[in-house]
Amino acid sequence: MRRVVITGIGLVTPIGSGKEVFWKNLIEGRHGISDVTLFDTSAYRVHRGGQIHNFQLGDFLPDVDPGLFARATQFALAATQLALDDAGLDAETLPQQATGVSMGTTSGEPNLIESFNDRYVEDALGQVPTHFNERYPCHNIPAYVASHYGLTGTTPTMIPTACAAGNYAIAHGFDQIATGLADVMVVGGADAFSRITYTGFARLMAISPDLCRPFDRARKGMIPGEGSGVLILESLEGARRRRATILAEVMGCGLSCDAFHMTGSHPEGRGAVRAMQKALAESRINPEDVDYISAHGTGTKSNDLNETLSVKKVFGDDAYRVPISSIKSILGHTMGAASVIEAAACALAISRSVIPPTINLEEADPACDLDYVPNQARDVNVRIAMNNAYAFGGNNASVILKRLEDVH
Amino acid sequence: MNRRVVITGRAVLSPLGDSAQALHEGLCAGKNQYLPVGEFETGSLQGFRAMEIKGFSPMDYLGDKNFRPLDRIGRFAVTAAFLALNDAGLSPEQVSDREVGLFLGTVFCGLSTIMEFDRKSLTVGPKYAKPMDFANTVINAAAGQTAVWNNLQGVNTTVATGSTSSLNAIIAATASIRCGRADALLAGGAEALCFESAFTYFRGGMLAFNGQDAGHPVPFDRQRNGFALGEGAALLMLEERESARARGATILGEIKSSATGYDPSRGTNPEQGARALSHTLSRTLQAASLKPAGVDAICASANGSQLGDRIEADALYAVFGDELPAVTAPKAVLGETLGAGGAIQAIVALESMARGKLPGIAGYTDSNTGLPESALGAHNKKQDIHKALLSSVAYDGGCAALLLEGGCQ
Amino acid sequence: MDLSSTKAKIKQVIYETTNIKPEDISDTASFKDDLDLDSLTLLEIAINIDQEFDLDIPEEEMEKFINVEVSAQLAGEYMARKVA
Repeated sequence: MRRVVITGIGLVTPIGSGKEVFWKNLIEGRHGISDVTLFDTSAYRVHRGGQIHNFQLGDFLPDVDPGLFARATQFALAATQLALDDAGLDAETLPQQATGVSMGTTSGEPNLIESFNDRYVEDALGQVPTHFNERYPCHNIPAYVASHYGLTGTTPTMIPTACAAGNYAIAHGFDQIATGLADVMVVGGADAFSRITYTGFARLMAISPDLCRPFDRARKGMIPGEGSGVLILESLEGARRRRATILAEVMGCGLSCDAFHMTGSHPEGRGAVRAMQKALAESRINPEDVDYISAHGTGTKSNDLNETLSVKKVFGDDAYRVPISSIKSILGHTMGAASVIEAAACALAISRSVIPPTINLEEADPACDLDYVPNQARDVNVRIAMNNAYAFGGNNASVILKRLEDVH
Repeated sequence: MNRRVVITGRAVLSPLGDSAQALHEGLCAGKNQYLPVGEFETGSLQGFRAMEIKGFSPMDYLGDKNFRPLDRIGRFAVTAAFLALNDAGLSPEQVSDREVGLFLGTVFCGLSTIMEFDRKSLTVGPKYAKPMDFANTVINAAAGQTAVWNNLQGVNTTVATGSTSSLNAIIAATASIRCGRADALLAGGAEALCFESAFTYFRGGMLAFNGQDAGHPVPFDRQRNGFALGEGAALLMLEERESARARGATILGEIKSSATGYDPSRGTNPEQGARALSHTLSRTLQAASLKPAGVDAICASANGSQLGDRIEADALYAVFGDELPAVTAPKAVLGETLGAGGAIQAIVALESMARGKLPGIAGYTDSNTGLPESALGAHNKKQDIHKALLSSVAYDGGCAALLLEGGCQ
Repeated sequence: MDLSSTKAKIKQVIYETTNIKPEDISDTASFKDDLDLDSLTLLEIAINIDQEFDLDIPEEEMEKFINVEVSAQLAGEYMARKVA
């Protein structure tokens, strides 16, 4: 089985697009939460979101007609271009027939559902565009990326495992390279802000009225967001051969399912625990080797509590040593993009030896008593980072990244 | 470590019934299922026809439980998993001990649930949007529900690649077992008909139904003019071979090799499409060190689409030429089942291997695809089938292929 | 609407949401602990009661609908408030 490394990062997020803008705002704790303007929230009790304002596909792909793609696809295309640029890969150097695309999402292109319904209620279905099924089904997000760049190494695959989808896309891409089915994989996640998602989370009373405060005593919920994160994965030997800058190695992935409840995580964290254990086993490392955990940390009462319990079960006393932060405090919950963006933050933490903070942490919940890196980024030598993500449907995924210099 | 993947159980829900036997018999008999729909309101689509599962009740399989939390696709997937685990002879304890997981392919998942959830917030306001419906609006909902209802705590993944989804799900599940990430996985797909998918495919001009006439959704046929929509669920129980043998499982077949690919013209350029699929088919055979002459039968994804069937025909001809073995195409009876198609193809192949008979292509008379009549017009010929090749190409460019070997121990 | 009709309607709502027959639901059986219903179902019952009687229940009050007896009383109060 071949070793897999990350050679490029592309980010389109509520705190900026591009690796450096993102990282600067992340480390300085400058959040991207604002009032929602993409649709009318007056009928809701909450009005805040991690919306990306003023996004223009032309800023990233000037020769592409944005009218051909719905919002999440545009994010994915932009993030892919940024990632390829970051990896130093272009039309000459990208091995198209040995490159595939795997992505994650929660709701695909819900804006197309909305415009269908806007017409439905007006009795104007005759105006539904004929291309609905060329754009709406969620597999079109990675497919448009593959089509644009001519990537035919694998079928472009969408793994729509909701809020953990990014990690699942990374695992899928990892498998393709490890088993020799592809040499390069464009892996990522994308989700667009939508009325459906906002309504759903508001309906579950899961949205915070102001900010996202993971692990805080006064936390009131998550903040829906949007965006895309893309990583370029390559085989280690391929990356070395073309002298690529290697940001981190993907050591292993752990995937599990709670099989308990559709929207709430198992109260004893059985699935989350299993995912972490599997990732550690596949990476052949022990909990004490982990230098940083990027938490799922949505800011809901139950997630943050259950997540803390799960980490303690896996790490034992070591749970009190390892710093664990939630960048959802800064970005909001970017859904299918979240765990890829978080994996990117882990790769940057590894390559720059800085851990991003959990902001808005004024007084921790007494039941959440770990080191959540409150409010200030911290200089830490991060050799190994664990990225955790949990989703509706009980889908759990943990991915472990490692700095490359170190040998087993 | 050379881990091999075998099939120890299967389940299929289709208009032909709820067993692999009923599926095979119905395909051989060519029992027409292309009928006016009755399970949803057709609205402006008067006279709409599809291959619908009529009168499905999960209670018939799962007992008198509360099915409110499940939408139609959820009911199909949960039931199919229950049947497949039974078919594989796995007790609840074994399902738990072996951490059985699920790889489920789908195109839309609960499209009607998603549409209605959003519609409610427009019409009566977000206050009345139902939380249980929201839980089913995520595209991994059917896979999640299937895990909850069948206690599947292993690796759980939803795979969306268009109409090749369930074959991709089986391929990804096979890879996971080979890599040692799992020992036992249910793999396949599910899809449910609804007004919105019917309307949008109709609007896209892809269907044989033109608003008045039923049309001719017959695979490879000269008169074909588009596909018809179907629905259902199909799952294989995949297991690592040694542990399957150790527990005394019945081995229905083995997955020898597979490949996936993509046509970047998104199905619009027939040459590129045929090249992408023929490449995928060839790689599958090469991975098993098998020459085309070693394939006994082919189960194709052709669904009556003029361009799609042409692409598949050209690809098959490029690989097999005039020596093309007998070809079956279950979508002739079941329609385009989107997320369930590839898994249905797999079960048709397994059943054909077990019975020594490949179903003919129902409704087929002759073809303009250039494929040999001996292959397309086999008409339920009795034959020994040891190695069957599944071919799958999506209308928007995805390609997948899988080589199955039957009846091995 | 008198209390017993309200209770009967509420039991019907619960039946439609959970498949538990009205005759199997006592007035004081706790939805969560006695009927063993999960969080999504509890929320949906409250929303359905709201819709059935057109009550306009604020979100933070929904968790107070804990059994048939209490729900009927609360529904009565909301209805009275609306008329007033």
